[in-house]
Amino acid sequence: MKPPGNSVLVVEDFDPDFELVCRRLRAVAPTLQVSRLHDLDEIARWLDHPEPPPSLVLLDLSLRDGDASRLLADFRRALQKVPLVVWSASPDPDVPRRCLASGADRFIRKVADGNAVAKQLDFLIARWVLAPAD
Amino acid sequence: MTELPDDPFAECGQEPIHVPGTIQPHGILIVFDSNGICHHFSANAEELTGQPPAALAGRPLQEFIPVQQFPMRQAGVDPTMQSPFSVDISGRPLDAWLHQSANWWVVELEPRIGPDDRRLHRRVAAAVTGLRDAPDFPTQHLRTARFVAELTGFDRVMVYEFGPDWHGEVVGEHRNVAVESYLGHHFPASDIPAQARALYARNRLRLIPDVDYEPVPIVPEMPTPIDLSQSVLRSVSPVHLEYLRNMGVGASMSISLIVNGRLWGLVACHHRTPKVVPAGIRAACEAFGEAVSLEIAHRQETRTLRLRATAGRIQTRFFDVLAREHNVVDALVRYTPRLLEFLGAGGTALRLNGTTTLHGATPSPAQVEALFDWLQVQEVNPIFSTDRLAEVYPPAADYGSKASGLLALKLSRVEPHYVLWFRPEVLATVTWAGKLEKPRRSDGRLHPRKSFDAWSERVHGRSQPWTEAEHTGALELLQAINALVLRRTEHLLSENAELERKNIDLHSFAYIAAHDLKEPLRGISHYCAFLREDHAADLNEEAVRKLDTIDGLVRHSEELIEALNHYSRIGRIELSRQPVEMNKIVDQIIETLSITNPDVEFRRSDCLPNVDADRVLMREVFLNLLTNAARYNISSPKRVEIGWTPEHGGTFFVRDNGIGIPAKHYESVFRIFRRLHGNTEFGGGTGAGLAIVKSIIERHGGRIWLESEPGVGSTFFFTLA
Repeated sequence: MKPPGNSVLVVEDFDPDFELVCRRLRAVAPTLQVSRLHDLDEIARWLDHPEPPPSLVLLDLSLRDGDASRLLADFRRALQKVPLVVWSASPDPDVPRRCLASGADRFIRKVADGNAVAKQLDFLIARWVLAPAD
Repeated sequence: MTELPDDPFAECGQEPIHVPGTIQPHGILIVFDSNGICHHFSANAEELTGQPPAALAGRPLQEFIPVQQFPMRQAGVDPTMQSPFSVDISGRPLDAWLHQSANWWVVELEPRIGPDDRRLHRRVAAAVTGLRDAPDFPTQHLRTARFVAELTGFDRVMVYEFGPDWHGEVVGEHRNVAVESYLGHHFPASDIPAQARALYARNRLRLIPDVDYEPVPIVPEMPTPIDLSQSVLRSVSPVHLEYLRNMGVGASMSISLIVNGRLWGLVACHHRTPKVVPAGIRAACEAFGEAVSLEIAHRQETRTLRLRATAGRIQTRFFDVLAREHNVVDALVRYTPRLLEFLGAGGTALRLNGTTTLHGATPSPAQVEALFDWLQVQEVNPIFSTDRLAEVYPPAADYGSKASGLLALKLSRVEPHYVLWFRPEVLATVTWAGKLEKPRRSDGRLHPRKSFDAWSERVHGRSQPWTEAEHTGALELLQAINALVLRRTEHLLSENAELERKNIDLHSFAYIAAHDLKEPLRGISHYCAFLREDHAADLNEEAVRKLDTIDGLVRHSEELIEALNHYSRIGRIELSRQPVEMNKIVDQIIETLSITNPDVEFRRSDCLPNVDADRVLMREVFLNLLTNAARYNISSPKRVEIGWTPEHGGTFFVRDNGIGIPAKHYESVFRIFRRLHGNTEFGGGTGAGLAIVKSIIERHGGRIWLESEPGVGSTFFFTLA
């Protein structure tokens, strides 16, 4: 069993969503470091030097400067073993399949129900950050 | 109508009248070659030369005639155009005509008679002015006849007009009271046979000073008789002379009237006794004939233009109306009455898309259908017209009073779309100069009729003829319709493009809405949750209730956005058609819904056919319809029946005993977000379900409708193409 990771990378340009993530992380794992990227430019720069590798990447697709789904494969290459979770409000029913095919480990649909999202985040943190499987 | 004798003078029509080999005796004729050597003479040449013709052959022309007086010596001058000219032979003043016939030269000489009238051209000019000032054709013709009569002294001068079938009518006349009038009389085409008309077209003036003349042969006889078409002395057909004698004519002259290259008619002059007409007068008559021809052409043109302008005004009004209409076919049908006015017809028939619309006085629908069938095998490119339909289509004799005249306009090259205009029979009386009967034959040759007494005939099965302007009008109508259809098509294409663009906009909007609009909703939801977590102790019951309401509204907004997105997606996705077992789909849905709606009796009453459709979408259709049927229902027990009938090529239905829908909402229930009840009544919902169902069914080429009675229940029917 691996030691628990100590950082989560959140790619999110919408503050309320980011705040919700932070609140859940603080609630269940107060020691976790949270780093944030806002847009495709920042992702590209970060992917040049993906250090230190995070325990979990939470990736929103629709960013202020474009669609991040095309960077999924780059993430996968750079962070081979790191769980990659896409969470998106995209209405396209085909998006989840495409994301999983591009290397995402999980797809979460963002909905306007704080409690439902919170539960999903709690599960992710428990599953991949606090008790990562081999 | 009376049957005309079959080509009664067919034999006359074959008589080679341009090569008679004889001339009339009032002048002499000499045939010579281009070296001026004489070869043939009219037998009366001795009158001039003083020597018998036999002694003259082979001698130079100048031995008898001072050829230096001929105008032909100038190169490039057509001697025919210079004729007649004056020559003086041994002190005898003569008028000479010179022309070429094949390789021969022909000179014809007549004694000059009468004074050389220097005022002739002024008189002609004044008469031409008189023609121009004439208010109408009858007046012009009358003035033409009167002037020629005054100029020549003939007893009777007639303006004789050829019809399209070459029969003639006397349309103007000036006469000495002692002779009978032929004004308004018709003469059969055979009175002036084709080859005579051809000569009239070539030689503009013919004179027969004495119908009882003895023809003078040309000697020695020529191996190939010389063509005397251009001759002024040419001997005429004995049948023609007999014809004139039967008419009581002693001398005749005719002037050709050529309008736009066609022999329009003649100025025909008759005198009871023999009569000579001086060459100068004849030349003036010929010139006057040219002027008359031009004036007729001008007057015809003016009349055509005036008709066209009138037709144009009617058309413009009609086209204006047509152009404002949305559907050209509807417009044409609705404005069928205007089609009548358009061409001045008694009735019209419009055939479009297999449907015939009749207006005004027309044959019966069955007769019109038969006429269409007949037209289908005629050359209608794109117009067919006749003022005597029964002659080409005998069944039309039954309805001559309505359709003796027909103008058919074919609107499409491929489809049998037509506009027909009918004109009623015009009962006309035609007065013939003499009863129409077969010519007599006796002593081995034909004889023309003896009587020229007026003989009236009632003409049946004829309508007013269709004018050229009316043909043009019909063609313009066709062009206008084509232009309108084209404009409509372009309009439709641009509307389609616009619609396409709007669909893309809607799609984009739905996508943006689904994401960008949902983002703030999510934010609101999150902050409600944060408030609850961070300030739980500070929130009283009222505050918590308000937060719950905010949450509820946010969720509802999100559902609406999702529904809109789904609706837009249905409209644009590719259908995945495959054989679908409708029984199976419906049974599965019934099974599912029965769990969540234990108080509803779902029943499939018929065996549903399998269809070729998108399985997922068919499932959605039934799920929506069955959910609605169960939801909007307060009966006990609640019943929902699913069935199929063979009507409309196969119709599915979902029937309930629910609350029903008032008739005024039959259409609007299918509009997106159209809800007939409050947000919370009947379990809420987005109001997109039926709009989505309708979209799915229409995507499959079907349609959906409903029957309902408030308080009793509703039935939704749908078909799939």
